[in-house]
Amino acid sequence: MIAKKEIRKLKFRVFSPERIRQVAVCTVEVPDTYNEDGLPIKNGLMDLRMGVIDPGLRCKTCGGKIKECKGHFGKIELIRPVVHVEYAKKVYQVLAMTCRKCGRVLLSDEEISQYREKVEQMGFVYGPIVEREAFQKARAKRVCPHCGERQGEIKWEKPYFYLEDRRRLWPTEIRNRFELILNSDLFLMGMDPESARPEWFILQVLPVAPVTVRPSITLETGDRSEDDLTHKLGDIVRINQRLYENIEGGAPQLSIEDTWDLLQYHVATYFDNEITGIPPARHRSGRPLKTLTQRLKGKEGRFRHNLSGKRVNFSARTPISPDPNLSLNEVGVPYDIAEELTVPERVEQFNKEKLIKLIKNNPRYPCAKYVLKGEGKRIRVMEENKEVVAEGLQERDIVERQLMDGDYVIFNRQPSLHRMSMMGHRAKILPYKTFRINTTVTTPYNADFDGDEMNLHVPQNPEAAAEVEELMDAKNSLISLRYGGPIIGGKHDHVSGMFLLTQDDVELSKEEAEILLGFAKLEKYAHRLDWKKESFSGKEIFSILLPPDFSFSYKNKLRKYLDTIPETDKELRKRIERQMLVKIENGKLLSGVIDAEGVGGVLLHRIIAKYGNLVGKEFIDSVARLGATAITFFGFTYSIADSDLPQEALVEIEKNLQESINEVSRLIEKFTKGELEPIPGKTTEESLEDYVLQILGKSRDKSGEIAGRYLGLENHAVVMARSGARGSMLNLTQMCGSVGQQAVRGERIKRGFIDRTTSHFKKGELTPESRGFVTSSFKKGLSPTEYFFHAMGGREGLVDTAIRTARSGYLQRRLINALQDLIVANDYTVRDSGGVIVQFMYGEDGVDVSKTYNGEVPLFEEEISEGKTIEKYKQEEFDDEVGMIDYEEFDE
Amino acid sequence: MDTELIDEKLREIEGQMPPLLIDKLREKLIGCKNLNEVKARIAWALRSYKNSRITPGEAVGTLAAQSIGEPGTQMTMRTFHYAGVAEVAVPQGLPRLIEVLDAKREPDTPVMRIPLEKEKVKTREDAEQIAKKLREVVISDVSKLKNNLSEMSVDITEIEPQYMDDIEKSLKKFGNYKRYKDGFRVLSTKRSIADLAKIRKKVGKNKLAGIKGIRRVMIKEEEGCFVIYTEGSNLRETYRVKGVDRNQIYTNNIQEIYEFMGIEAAREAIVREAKQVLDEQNLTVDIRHLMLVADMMTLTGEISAIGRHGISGSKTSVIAKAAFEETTKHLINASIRGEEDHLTGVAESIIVGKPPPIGTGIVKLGMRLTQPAAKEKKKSKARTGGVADGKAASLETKKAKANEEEAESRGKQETPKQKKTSKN
Repeated sequence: MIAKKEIRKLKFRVFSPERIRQVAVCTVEVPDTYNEDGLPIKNGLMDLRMGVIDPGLRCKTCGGKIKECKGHFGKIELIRPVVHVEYAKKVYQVLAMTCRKCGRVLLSDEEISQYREKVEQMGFVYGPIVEREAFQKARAKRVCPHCGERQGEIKWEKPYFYLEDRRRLWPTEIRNRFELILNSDLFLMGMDPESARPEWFILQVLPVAPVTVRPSITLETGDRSEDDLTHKLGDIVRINQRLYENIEGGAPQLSIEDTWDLLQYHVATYFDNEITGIPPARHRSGRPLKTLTQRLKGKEGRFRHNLSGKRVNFSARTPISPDPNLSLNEVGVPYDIAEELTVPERVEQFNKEKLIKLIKNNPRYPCAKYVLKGEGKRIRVMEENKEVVAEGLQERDIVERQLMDGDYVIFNRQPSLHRMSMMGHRAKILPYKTFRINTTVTTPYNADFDGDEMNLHVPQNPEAAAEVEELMDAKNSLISLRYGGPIIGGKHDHVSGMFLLTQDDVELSKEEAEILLGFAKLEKYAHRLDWKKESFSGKEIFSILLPPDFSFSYKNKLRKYLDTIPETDKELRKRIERQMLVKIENGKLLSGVIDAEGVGGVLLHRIIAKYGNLVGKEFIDSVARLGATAITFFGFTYSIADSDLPQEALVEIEKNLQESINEVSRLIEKFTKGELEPIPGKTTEESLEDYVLQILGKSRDKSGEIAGRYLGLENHAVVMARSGARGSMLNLTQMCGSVGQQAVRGERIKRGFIDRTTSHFKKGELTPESRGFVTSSFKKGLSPTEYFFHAMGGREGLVDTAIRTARSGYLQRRLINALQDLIVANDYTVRDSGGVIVQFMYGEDGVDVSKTYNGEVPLFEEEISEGKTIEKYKQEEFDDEVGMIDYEEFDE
Repeated sequence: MDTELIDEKLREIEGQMPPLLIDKLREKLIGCKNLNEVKARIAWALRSYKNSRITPGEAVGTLAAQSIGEPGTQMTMRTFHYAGVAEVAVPQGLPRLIEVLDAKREPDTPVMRIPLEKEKVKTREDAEQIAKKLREVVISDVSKLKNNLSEMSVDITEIEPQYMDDIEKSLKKFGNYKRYKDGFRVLSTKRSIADLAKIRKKVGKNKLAGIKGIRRVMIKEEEGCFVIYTEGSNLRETYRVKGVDRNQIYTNNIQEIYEFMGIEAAREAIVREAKQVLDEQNLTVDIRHLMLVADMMTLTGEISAIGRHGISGSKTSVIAKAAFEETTKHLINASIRGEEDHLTGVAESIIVGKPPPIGTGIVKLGMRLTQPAAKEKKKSKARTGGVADGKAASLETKKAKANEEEAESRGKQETPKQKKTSKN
């Protein structure tokens, strides 16, 4: 890298009047901006010595043109001093702590030296404590221990009035007192005499911000519209002038004081226009002015908007759409975007020819747009000059060529809550206008294709590109560092497809297998099949994606389903159990069905852990393609008719619901009679609610069970739910069983009319249907009251989400701000930017979560993959990478 | 396998692996058949551990923050009731997580779980006896309070008889009261209605029995043990009650744990509470992230919140504080104190346009520019000369040289050593 200047530190201090006068290039005396010719007035608000904002003019201080001259401070000499509002609190403290006559702090010399000792020893600890204590002590003193003067009671009337024994203290007086304070006493008030003297808090001379800080804008009409700060400064100059005239003209004391207060008001609002207790200064239109504090504060303020948030070039944004043919670490970039984005490439021996070709290809797509010569010259390559530029191309020149296939880029979707919200992808230039990504990477981005837009950034030097490739690449983010499990993996149709393909009875003919593999673009694995055979099982086809020496067995998602099958149904249990136990030996799927646990869960995790990210990426890519192809191969549809239930099922559901409703009414009867046994610690009303919710919840589950039984295992919605592809049995229950209890605030619905939910029910009615229990299914359709209750529950959900995003967003901002400086040091301690140790060993074991199994370090090889017998250790050699095995002992 | 042999082998890798993992490994190794297998397995485990170590420079703070913040969007807001179970409704999900990280003095619903000693408490009656001792009884629980405007007094009526004497005892501090046969009358000294309301509130809150703050108690039987769940929490007092299993008592009031048991316990409690909230929402967040947050919150020896009143407010950098919240306040204070900002943190670096000292940003690499080509020398000088003067440039190259030489010599020393160890 080129040597560069770096800011080493920043020091904050208060602007002293001397400094202000010294720095100022002019005194603003005229409250106007431009004369009739449109030129800045001398000693006006836009004086040319304070910088330029008009093209063509030159700064009278530095001679710079617009953009060259950064601007210079001016000043306004205030006729009477005023308090600087931002320091008003400190002014009060200093007033209360010091003697009105001699200016010493109202503490005895012993006390002072005691405090000084403390602060000198450990200022960063005792400083604030000492200040608080000294303030309390000094304020309470009624007599000065140094000169014996009686001290009046100081009152601070916010925001900037001070009273002593109910008499107004004017800034002039305050200033005079402050001037007496000794430098050596200042530490008691938390002040550094080098940086801040108390009298500086009272402004005698006001610094005027450079013109460049408050540029005026020219409207289409040719009128100028001045910045808010300029308006404010104009007010100050005007009032200052009036105050001068009043005093000179011998106006009555009262009117002088009024004008003085007005000046105080304007200077105060120049600094902060949101002071509590005084009305904000307004623009002619009635809009409050945006003054200095408002410019800095908050989300749209200078700090958060401009300083912490940087804008970039070499980026693009457009909607995204899916493309299963891309690998998960690729991104399809439209030609229109690739033509615009450039990558700088230094000319060296090895790429000179290629770059010349690119220059000569102008203006068609893969071409070089600019050439940077060593001397800092920048040549735009055009059709007319391309031959000349190509001819003159030298090593060490930098060529800016268009984005091409294989370039590493950063891809991002907001909100960027994750590190995985910005990942490295390889560009693949494609026709049409959208970015294209593989569907498997939608999870970390939390993206879908209903109109989502995403951003792309092109790294502009080899160092950045290398970091994108090594540290940010999507293939290196397969395992989440939040929980140590795969975050990228097959989902939805990939799962359904694999689930269908790997069923026990799937048998494909040779031709079918060819077609399947062909469409899935898996030719490179085809040799793993024994093509002498006439037909293949689905499991055999899946097996070609597995590494040949991979052995592993696990239980898939059906384990949850198994628990719901009654013990009596032995045949079904047996079948499910067989499907549940997945056994892979030497790269062959022997038994079991591949579901979400396989293409995006444990199996995937083991493959990644054992064979690395590259193999993991290949596996995900091919599983996704095979799954998607398989699902089209078998056909996978759903229509309203698929949730049809036979009449007897409907009757059964109806009966079940009626039963529980009856049960509830029995409970209600008991309750009204006062016979209900309350749950300990709860009232009878609460207990009743609990019982009712329990009964109705069970009843809904039961109707779901009935529905599930009649729908059968082959029903595609059931397939999706059980394989973990999408949806749940609950969704199915609601579609064809019953929707169930609607809740607001975690309770049955009870609000609405007096003592009842809607006018359809009697007062005080506690029945399920009057309190938001929906017996109908979505398919059957909801009754008007049911529909209304459902909408109530739905509305709460929406409100909840809206509030939640705001709350969790703020939480995340706070968390990031509190923890962002923490890094792992070279000795594996966790330290902040000042070197303070927060943890002696990161996470107590120094382990990277993304390299673990759900947070655990694998200690036995079998934990990664099973199948290898322990006997093998007898012969097998070990590489000595670990460096601590004693080989002599090994031979005993 | 002989445990002694295993221990001996494990001792060899002490210091190369965290003790916790070695212990885990020891347990697993017991099933091994021969020494070779033990050695091989230890070697494998050690390699596996080394492979999973974190990379120095990793921005673990940001990782932890993101790992906790990101699932925040998926959490529920609602207070959760366990249907049918006699337990207290505790705020769950996001509100509770925020509560924990805010280091609130007292949670919205403080609760305690108090297991009772197995040997001493055998029957439900025993448990009820203890529960009675715990629950705070105040005057308004056992009587009715009424403002009596004609007498300018607060009347206590409908008192449960067994509390009469207790009430009288507690009323002594009010001084001005009268006892009747079935009630009390507390007179207002100021004789104003506002005073009456005040007195009524004060009298009503007067504790008669139990432990302050514990409003409700529930007894449950868990695994043959009686457990008392309470609404309201008071660790210090509950700890003193006989029959309570002191080793298992728990409260969700972290501040209380800190005050009673110290900062290490508070740190455990933060991790535990946060973990519990996330687990209940079925969100898996690795414990390492939570530990880092808890460590940061307890770094100073006191619990400091995540946010402007805690960690972010006590940062050393003025700019970092100003960029977070309360911008002007921090700038003004810095100017009064004449503070300096050394720009070492992430936020400051970004603001002034330096690469932040995080990840690859902590690596400083010195490189000696190739000597021979005279042209190059000129060029490099010209390049650096633009900003820094010639002296600085030559100094830089000197430094780089020294660095490289050092690295070289170190490399030479290291390589033969490595070979030796491997040939052993």
